[in-house]
Formats: sequence, structure tokens, C-alpha cells
Amino acid sequence: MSPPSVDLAGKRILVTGGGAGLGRGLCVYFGSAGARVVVTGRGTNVEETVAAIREAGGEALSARCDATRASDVEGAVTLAVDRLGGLDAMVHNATSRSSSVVSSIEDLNEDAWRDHLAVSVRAGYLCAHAALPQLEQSRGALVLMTSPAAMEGSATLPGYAAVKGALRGMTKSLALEWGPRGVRVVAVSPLARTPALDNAFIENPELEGRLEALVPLGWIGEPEPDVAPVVAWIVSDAGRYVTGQTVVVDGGRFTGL
Amino acid sequence: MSEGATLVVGDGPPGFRLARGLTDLGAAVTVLGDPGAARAAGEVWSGPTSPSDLSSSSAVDASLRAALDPGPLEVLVWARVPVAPEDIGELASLEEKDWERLAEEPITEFLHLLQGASSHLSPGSSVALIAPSLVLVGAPHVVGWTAAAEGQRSLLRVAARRWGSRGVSLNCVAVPAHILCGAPAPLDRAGGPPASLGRQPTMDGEVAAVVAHLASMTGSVTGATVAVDGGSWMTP
Repeated sequence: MSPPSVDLAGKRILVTGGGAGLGRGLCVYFGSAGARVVVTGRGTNVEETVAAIREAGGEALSARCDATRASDVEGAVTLAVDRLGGLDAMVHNATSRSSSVVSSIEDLNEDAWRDHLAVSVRAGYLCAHAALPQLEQSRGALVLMTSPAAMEGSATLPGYAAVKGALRGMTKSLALEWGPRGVRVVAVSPLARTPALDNAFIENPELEGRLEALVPLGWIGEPEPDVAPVVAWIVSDAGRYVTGQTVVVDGGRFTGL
Repeated sequence: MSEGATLVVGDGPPGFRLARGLTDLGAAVTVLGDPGAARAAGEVWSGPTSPSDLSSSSAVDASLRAALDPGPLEVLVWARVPVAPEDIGELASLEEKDWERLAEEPITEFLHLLQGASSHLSPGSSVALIAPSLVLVGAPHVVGWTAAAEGQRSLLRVAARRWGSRGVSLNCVAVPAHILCGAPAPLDRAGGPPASLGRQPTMDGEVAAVVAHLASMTGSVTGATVAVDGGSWMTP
């Protein structure tokens, strides 16, 4: 991969759901662009992400963090303050393990729904609440990862679509509320290959071709080279005039905004 | 409007006013909510009110059965408003339980409503979600409400995609937030563009008319959001 084109030197960034998939891609890219990264997640795979960042010459810390628990999120922010001196960006990327489980709206069960709600919407609030004092001090940014399903609906991913929509609503209003404090809030809607998507391709081999055919650029993005640079740009000084938007990074598949 | 029942979910002033407007247009309206709420709210609503339970899809199903007995469901309208003027404030001052009440519960209740209503909706039926127009553009100090309304709007599109082949349509009607929650007009963003038509809509007037019109177009319009704000926010 070519060297990062975005300069994140000195930036302190906390990422939820950093143990795998898109979250890992974001963390590794941020690290390679000069940021000091706090990789958080529920599993031990956060250590693998930290190792990948360090292997690439970056600086990273890990924090076991269930983003649905206030004490865990506050603890991760405290770790960033204690070890890195503050926080310049919080990226809420964690999503329910049921995110790619196909269901009709009628059959979406209560447990799956509650998990979607907790990991996306409750955790979004907890991240915002815990990070605000630090972001205000650094004039930083909160990034909430959303999805095309939030904007165009999805007949088969009802819970995922609903909570990702809620995060878009949160982005718009919070950006207006926090603008006077100097804090930006941006939603990012990616289309990227993740372990969950790869599993879906294994289960349904025709899906990959069908999905690629819907993307004008003709391929499904990769987390690190295709999505992470855009998120990095948003949290960098170069993105300082962008707030309240949903930035779509999907090869041109969704053009409705 | 034709023979089937119109159910308005929401026993606050916006729901009662909308119910009155739809009745004036010829609909057979029942409000789903607390039967004593109209009197308590000082609203003029003398039509039927039936208890509603949105705690689960099966509870919704039972509520709809009781309210519909014996007729079919033609129009289902969500006009519940999760916020009161005293809920307006910065996210930083919201406690976790307030966030749950303002942002999360309304999405869950709307999910239950759609799940519970599914078997009652037949070809030609329609669902209308009344949402604050700030869902389109955001507004400070109502982050929870915006999150809830945008989550509900996403669910509406999910169901619109799912149920279109059944001939059921679902649309969102976005109205100025202050006419929903009774807060001052600046809630809809101080300094925002004025209503280019020179006046704000009313629930029993323009909003009811749009809901009725959308209900008459079930063969062609679904998953849409119609801003009924007098031409304030002309969003892309």
C-alpha cells in the first residue's frame, strides 16, 4: 500500500469495535498516518489490531471495552487522557454481532433488536457523553459509522437499518449543538469488505457479483485503502470545516443525498 | 376516504388534532391511547379512543384487534411525540435513562407497531409516520428526538420495501417540531429559513390533508418523506 496521504501526526483517536473488520482497518490506517490510537473492543482481538499498528511503526493502546456500558466507555476515555494526554477524535464503529443476520421486520426478535439498539444507539450516546469534555478541549471530532441501509432502507436488515438511521439523526443535531463548542460530528456511510460480508459471500456465492454490479466503480471497497483515508481526512485538520454531514464512501452505489 | 378504519396512535394534542382533521375529511377515526387523555389535554375530541399497548408486537396486535373490531384497517398513523418542552436540552445534561426514553423507546415502540400491525394491513392500506421536520436537517438540544425520528424513518423504509409487493404503502410526513411538542418555534432552528408559503401548517388542517392524500395514493407512493412545513426546509 502507498504511504498514507493524510497527516494525523499528534492526533489521539479512540475507535470502538477496533478488533476486526472495518474497525481494524481504520485503526491501522490511523496509526500509519501518525495518530496514536486507542483500540477498543469486547474481545481479545484488539491486541491483534494493536500489534498490526505497531508492526507498521505506529503507536497504539488497547482497552477492553463493551461500548454499551458507561463505565467501560468512560474508562477508555480516561485511558486516553492518562496515557496520551487527551483525545482529538472518537470514532464509534462498533456494531451488533447481529448486523448481517438476515431477517424480515416481522421476524426481528426482541433480543436481536435490543442488541442492535445497545451497540449502536446507546453506545453512540455513551461515546458522545464521555468524549465531549476532551473533544471540546482539543476542538476535535466525533465520527459515527452509519450505512446506506439507514438512508434507503433494507428489506432484510431491519434492526441494522433502524439503528444506523438513528445515528444519522444524532449526527445532524449533535453537530448543530456542538458546533459552537468547536466540536465536529460527522457520519460516514461505507461499503467495505468485512469478515461478516465475507461470510455472507461464502453462504451465498452469487451475492458478491450482485453487489459489485450495483457499485458504479465495480468493486467492493477494502477497509484500509478505501474507507479509512476518508475517515482520517475527516478527523484531520484538513476536515475542520466539515460537520453534520453523512459522507458516503461506497464507490458511487448510493447517490441519493 | 373510504370504508376502513383509521387508527391514530398518539394521545397527545397532535394526535387528537390530527384525528379531528381526518374525521372532518370523512375518515372513521379511532385514537389509540389513554381514553382520558383528550379531556386532560383540554382537546376537543369526542370520537372513539381505544387503549394501546406498544410494549411488544403481540400487545400491539391485541390493541389493534380491540380497536378494529369488526372493521378492516385502512390507515394507521403514528403521531406519538416522545418529548415535552422540558426535555429540550443539551445531550451533555441528559442522563442515560433520559436517552433511553427519548431516543430508544420511540424506535422500539414504532418497531412493535409495525410488527403488530403487519397482519392487519391489506392491499390498499397505508401507514403514515408523523415526524418532526428537524429529522431532515437536525436541531440543537433535541438530539434524542432526532435520533428516534430518524431511526423510525429508517424502519418505515424497511417496511416499505418489504410490504410494497403486498400493496401496502408507508410514508413519512415531516412537520415543524414545535407544532408536535408545543415548544416555541425556534426549536426548529433559530435563524432557519422562514416558511416560504407564509404560514405554518396545522395538524387538523394541512397535515391531515396530506395524510389523507397519501392514503389515496397507495399504488404509487411509498417510502417517501413529505415535508409539510410551508416550504421552510427544501432539503435535497
